[in-house]
Amino acid sequence: MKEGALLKILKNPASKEKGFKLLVELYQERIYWMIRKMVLSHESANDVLQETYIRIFKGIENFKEKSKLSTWIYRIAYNESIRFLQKESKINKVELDSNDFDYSKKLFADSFFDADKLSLKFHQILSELTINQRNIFNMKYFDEYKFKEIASITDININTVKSTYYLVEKKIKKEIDESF
Amino acid sequence: MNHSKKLGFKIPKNYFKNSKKEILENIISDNQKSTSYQQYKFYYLSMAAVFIGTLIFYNFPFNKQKLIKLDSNSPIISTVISGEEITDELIIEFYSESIFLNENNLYE
Repeated sequence: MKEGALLKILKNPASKEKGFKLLVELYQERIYWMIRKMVLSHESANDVLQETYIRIFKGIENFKEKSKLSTWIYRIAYNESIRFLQKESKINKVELDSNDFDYSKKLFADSFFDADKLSLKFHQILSELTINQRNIFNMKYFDEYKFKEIASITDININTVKSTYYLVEKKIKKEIDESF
Repeated sequence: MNHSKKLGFKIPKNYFKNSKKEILENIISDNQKSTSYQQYKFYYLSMAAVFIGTLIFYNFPFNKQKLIKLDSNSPIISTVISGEEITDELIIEFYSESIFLNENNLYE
């Protein structure tokens, strides 16, 4: 289904709920994985996913169509994840960007995490990155978003996004090659 | 997507199917909550408007105009009437006279 047609259904109060079912079907998995890579544990990702959909449902009438519907949805999910991480770091009294210890702690506390040697190495490298570097890398490498989309979702300049990605990619390749 | 393979992330069985159901249930209950809040909000606002209206109505002066008593002996009023300049002497004279009259219950 094309975005325009879905938007029409969503913006009509009589068909909003039906449209929303379609929207959940279309984006649920993609949003979940994007959130999961940011918040790490399955439980947290599920909570953020629910919150994201509530925000989408409430805000769809105000969507100005300045960007693609999908980009707008991913931006909500991204902002919701950042809000969650900020709240979490406040509770744990740690800086949002210096949580190497927290990163591993969160991963191993999650019962839905089962890593082999390569995955662990991957996570170890990811944990050493800043939040922005990690998010940009994950969005491009795993979720296969375009640079333009990543810039729009994260509100970071496209050239910064590109240079960050290539820098991180190089670092990861080098470290993986050295380890295996 | 290769999250599970490369990052070791797992999800519960039938997660997306169940999660979809949960999301839609949450949306519907949240929507109902906000609709009922909107209805109650209307009633609360109406009640507040009636209350404020009643207060204004019963306190409106209509014909019960309160007359402002002006003491023509007060230095401010008397200088305004006479066009004289207000001086310290005039103020001291007025207040010492008022104190004297009050102490001896000679007012009125």
